[in-house]
Amino acid sequence: MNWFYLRFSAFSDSVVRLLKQPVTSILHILGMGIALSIPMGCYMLLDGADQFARKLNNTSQLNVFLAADSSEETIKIAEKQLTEIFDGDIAFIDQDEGLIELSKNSEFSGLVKNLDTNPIPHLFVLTPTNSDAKILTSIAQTIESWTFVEEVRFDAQWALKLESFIDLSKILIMLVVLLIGLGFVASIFTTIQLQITIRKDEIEVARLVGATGRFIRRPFLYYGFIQGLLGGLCAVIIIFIGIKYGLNAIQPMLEPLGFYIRSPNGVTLSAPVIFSVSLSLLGAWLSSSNHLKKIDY
Amino acid sequence: MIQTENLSKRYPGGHQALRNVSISIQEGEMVFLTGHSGAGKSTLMKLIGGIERSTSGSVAINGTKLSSLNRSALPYLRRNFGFVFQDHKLLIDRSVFHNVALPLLISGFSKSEITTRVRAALDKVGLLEKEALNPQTLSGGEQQRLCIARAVVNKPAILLADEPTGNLDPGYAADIVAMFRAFNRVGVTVVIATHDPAMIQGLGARVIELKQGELLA
Ligand SMILES: Nc1ncnc2c1ncn2[C@@H]1O[C@H](COP(=O)(O)OP(=O)(O)O)[C@@H](O)[C@H]1O
Ligand SMILES: [Mg+2]
Repeated sequence: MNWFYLRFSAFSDSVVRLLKQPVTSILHILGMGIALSIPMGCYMLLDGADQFARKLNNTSQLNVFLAADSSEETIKIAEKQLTEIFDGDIAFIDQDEGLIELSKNSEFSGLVKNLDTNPIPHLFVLTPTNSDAKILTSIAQTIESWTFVEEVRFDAQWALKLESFIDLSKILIMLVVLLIGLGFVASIFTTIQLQITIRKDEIEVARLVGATGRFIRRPFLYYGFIQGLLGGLCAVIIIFIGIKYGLNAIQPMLEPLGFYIRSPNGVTLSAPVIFSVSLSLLGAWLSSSNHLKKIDY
Repeated sequence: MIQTENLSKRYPGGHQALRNVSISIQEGEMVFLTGHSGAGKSTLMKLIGGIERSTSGSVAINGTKLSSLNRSALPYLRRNFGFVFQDHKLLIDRSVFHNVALPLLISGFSKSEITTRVRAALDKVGLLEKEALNPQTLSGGEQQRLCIARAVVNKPAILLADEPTGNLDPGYAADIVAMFRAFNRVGVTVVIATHDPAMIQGLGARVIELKQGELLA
């Protein structure tokens, strides 16, 4: 009598139905896994790039060069104004110090000895405590507008561009994920529709002898759940393999740049599974409801 | 127990299958529903069982109007009925046993209860030794009896049988009628639709006749 329960317990029945068409099921699950792992993988890469960009910003400094022959007075005013608008470490390097620094460099030492006047301007080096490239840019612009400032050099411009690129890419990935989600719902919908067609007589008789909508839906929801779960797990496996063999190969090249791909944690790994399971359930629910509505009294 | 009032049914496409049918069937009664083919017998059975929706008029079972029930209550109502369908509606992807077990499974009976009840129902219709077979391997009469076993396994209060002796030879038909009488004797309300006058003769049961969708007085 074991067969009896195997046959009718809706869950194992769904498993049996998946196993009955192994090739179709495997291809379907693989398709779901691949579809999910691509945006997941891209997201992780971008996340790494994002950390990288932030790090660049954090190490980036603003070099504020004062106009040549600025007086002591001007330097004091400059320092005061800088502390007002800038949050972070402010170091002053006066022109003599600058010259000494320069002469330490063997290439320039001869040159420096022959100079009559010091061509090096006074310099403030600003190191932000933690700052966003956009804010730093606007601060740099303000400082540059001051009359006693000759030039502001800010090397994180391209980091800013990288950051906007990353933001844009994240939005694009979200769109892709949204489309994939719709695709999931549609694909499970048709799969279940097919299952329903195969079991049409059974559903009709069950309905006639008093089956509730829930009873009829149950095996299809299980089917969607299992399919979604396996699809999500497949994505996780693909991401794992991708990291182990793909990323580990390029990581040594990226590391000197301070570019790290973070290993996936529980959250990043459960996301595709939850995503896949819930959308598959949604597809299965819509599909079975659609059929129930058609056959209902 | 079963009450219809001015019941009318027009199928999509415009065919008026029933017109103002008012009948009343008491608890424990055995009633024949007759009329020529196309008179509306099957339609009336489906309206009583809540399988089709009426165009106008009402059906009440034990005082509850079907139209007042919401969608989710309907399955529970159907569990009070045993249906013997004109086209059997047997599932050919499972055994005789599992065909009969389906209504019990749906009602949530335990495994042992299902086994006991299915065996009892199969025994009543004389199919116990065929429980492991596929319904397709049964004869027409056996398939009809299997359908009856599935209809009564839930111990329904009302048994609705649509042309239960359909294409059977007369000897078989008499057996089947005797079976319904036996159920009726233990208190089941039985409604049988048939176009075969021979089936009704000599039983002394009430006969309701339909003609072109209308009740003949
Ligand atoms: N699903 C349907 N759609 C359209 N017309 C139908 C349908 N079912 C039955 N009919 C029509 O309704 C009339 C009554 O049919 P039915 O109730 O099956 O009669 P009976 O069972 O007495 O032979 C017939 O003319 C039939 O063609
Ligand atoms: Mg008929």
